Amino acid sequence: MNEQDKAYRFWIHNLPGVGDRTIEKLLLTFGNEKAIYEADEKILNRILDKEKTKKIFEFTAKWDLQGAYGKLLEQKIRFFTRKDKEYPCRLRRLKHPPYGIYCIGNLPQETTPAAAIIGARECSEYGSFVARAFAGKLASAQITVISGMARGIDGIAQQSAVHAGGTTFAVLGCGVDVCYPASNKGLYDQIISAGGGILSVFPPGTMPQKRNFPERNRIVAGLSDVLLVVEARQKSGTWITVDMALDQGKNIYAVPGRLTDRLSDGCNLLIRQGAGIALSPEDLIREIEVLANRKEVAALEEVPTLNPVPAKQQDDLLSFLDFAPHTADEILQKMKQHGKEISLQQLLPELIMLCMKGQAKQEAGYYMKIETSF
Amino acid sequence: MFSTVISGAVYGIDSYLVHVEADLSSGLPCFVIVGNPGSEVREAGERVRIALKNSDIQIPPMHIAVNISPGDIRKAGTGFDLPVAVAVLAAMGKIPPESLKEKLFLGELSLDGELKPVHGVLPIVTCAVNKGIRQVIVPEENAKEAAIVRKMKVSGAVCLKQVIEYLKQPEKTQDQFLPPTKTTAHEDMPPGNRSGKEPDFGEIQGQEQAKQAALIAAAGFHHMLIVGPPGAGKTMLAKRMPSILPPLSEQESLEVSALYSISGKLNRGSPLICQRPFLSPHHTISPQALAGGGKVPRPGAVSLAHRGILFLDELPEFKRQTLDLLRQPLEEKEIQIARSSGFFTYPADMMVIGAMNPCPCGYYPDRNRCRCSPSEIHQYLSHLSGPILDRIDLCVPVPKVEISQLQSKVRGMGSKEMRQQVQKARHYQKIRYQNTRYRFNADLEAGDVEKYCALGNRERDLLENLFHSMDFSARTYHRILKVARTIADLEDGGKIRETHLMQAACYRPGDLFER
Repeated sequence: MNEQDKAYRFWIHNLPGVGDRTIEKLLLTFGNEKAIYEADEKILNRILDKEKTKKIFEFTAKWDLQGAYGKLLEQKIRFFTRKDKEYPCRLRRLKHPPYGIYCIGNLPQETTPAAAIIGARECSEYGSFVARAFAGKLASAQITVISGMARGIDGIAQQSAVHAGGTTFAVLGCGVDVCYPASNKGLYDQIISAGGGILSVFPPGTMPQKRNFPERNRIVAGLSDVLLVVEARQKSGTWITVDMALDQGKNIYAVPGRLTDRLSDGCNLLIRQGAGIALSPEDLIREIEVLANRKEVAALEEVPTLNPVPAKQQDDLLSFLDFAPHTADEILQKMKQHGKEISLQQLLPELIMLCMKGQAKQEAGYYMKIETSF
Repeated sequence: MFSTVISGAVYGIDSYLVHVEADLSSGLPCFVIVGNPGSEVREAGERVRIALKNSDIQIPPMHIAVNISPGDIRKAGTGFDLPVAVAVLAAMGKIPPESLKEKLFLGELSLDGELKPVHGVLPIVTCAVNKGIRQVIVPEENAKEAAIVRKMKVSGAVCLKQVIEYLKQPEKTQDQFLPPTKTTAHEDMPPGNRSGKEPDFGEIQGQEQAKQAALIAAAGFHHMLIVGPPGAGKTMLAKRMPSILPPLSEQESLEVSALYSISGKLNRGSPLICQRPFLSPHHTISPQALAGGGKVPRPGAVSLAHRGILFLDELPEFKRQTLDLLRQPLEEKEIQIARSSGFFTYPADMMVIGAMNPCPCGYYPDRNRCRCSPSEIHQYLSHLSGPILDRIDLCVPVPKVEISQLQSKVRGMGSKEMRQQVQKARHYQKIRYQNTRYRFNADLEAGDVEKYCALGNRERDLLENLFHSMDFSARTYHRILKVARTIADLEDGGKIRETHLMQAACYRPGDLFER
């Protein structure tokens, strides 16, 4: 088991048209990667079809065995296969463990509990708020947050985990050196510097492709102990992750939503099918406690409430605000229905006061509540 | 024989007088027009020849030369037909030359000698009266337009024969033969003239904030951006803006009418425009149509909206190149167009009202209906260039209207009430900006904002607080001050107070545009 072997493994993992199963098949015959590398065309032809062999040889002719692996290390990318002791145990337990995993930064610690937080890319304000709140609390409770660093829920959850000072791991559907989506570049760097890691089962340089994502989702499910679905439509990519997690016997939690919110349909449906109902981050923490048989999560009690006690009138106004954005007119209307008559000229300054205090925010004339804890 | 007749023409929007000279001399019979004529002016020769023949005047077989001076400007337009004909007739001795003195002729001829209306009469006549001309003879259909100009005698003629007869009359009986046209346009335009049919703000149910924003925009002449889902009433709001703007002053009215005269867009029945223009070009408009185009450019939409409103519906659908043309007019209140034939400057002091959906599908932030990704929304909004958005002081969301609001019997503020408030606010501004180049709060330049929008200590602290907590840019800072100034003017014209600042902060284009 030395670096020399790893260069061969890196080579075989990069072969075009050769997936985990083919590698498996070749290894059965040859025993190790070096033997495959040195095998001649005729022998290979007996196991693989001619097309494939030809491609492999064409590729190998251009492949600089040591150089390519050296370059990998230069990029600070580490590569682990099942033969390495660092290879995550959680993945070993999968029905079909991936041949290898790349990482920038660290790998998740085996003993630290991990929760996956996943959800829609085009999420609502409610979803992003819940993702932020749950991820923040889980991270402060020393639970690793695993997700896909996608737009929407995934990215928001991981960002929040980083802010809370926790470790989080992003499993990508592309090479670890490719930041997808590019808009999450900031998060990408923060995850690494915060002690987490960027993981992928695809060789560096792989571009994000639709067909890669189910595999990515399987790894997200595989690396975590519980799975939290924050927001999902009835038809959503999130279901792939959920199915994978169910296959792996993981517990699924879903955040309930309103019946009228299409973005909560998926979660509500999951609850009907028997998923756990995530009413607070503590629900998940307790679940993990039971799983890990840990006595107590000390950090739990220490989480302080960030909200200062607001003044009376504004507290009233705050109750008319929602996580979903509303215009001043809609807020006026709502207040009127509750018998609170106030003029627009009076309302606007109050709203701005809330924004200044960080209890609400304005976006193009829409106002919504921000809360940092329940 | 030689004769000379005065006429006029428009170059860009500037008018100038020309002398049309005719000479008959012996030689091969022909009819030439010199003096840098455009193709339509060159054709005048043919029209005049036939029109004269059909007016029972025999043209002698001589060498007829017509010169239009000054010769260094290219002449365009069909208004030279009548002066050319008159000049030729005078050269032939059919008209006494002294009858042409201090008169200006303008008009197109048809082959049977009838006079046809032409464009640009109002600015030409205005120019003529400044140059000491006392009478104009124009086609009858243009007479009312020419008569808008005070201290000018206007005679509207139907055909060439009538003009000839008129000029032959002794001066005493001329007015009997062809009574001068008097206009009632000025009397038709009492201050606050309303046709009574124009749409009223009272018809809009709900939308309190949008109406408030419209009020502020009208009072301080701020540009406004309306954001909302389809069917929320964005266009409805914009269409009602003219109803709360103060009426055009006489000077403004003449400016606007002159621009419309050049474009040939005047109503011949009531040529003086006394309503503020409201232009709503479609988003497929070409840059030339917006800014003004042509070899010698015609006024574009920005100039036709001068002193009025330019409503740009579906703002992000406009080509970026087209929208960027608005930068200069928004900054300098005029537009310069460079052509090979020279530089042209047209006035373009308009209020821009933009309307747009918040995302491609139109329903953001209602996530039940909107599935646009942040990058799609960003892409959509990136059509709006920063410099254009920077000039827009007010941004207001227009939410979907609830059925209960539609059925509500309570009518909101109507146009009349709003107009009174606007006039009050404008009054304060008039006093404040006496002897300055500013007219409205929105005109204030960065250097003078602090001077005219002075703040007390408490207000200054608040604004600083706002600035930090809401992450303003320096430009937003000035915008908020200007809008706060207008809000204060709408109240009592006094000092800017905290509540004004906070209200103003609610109208800034928010994070939606700063992503």
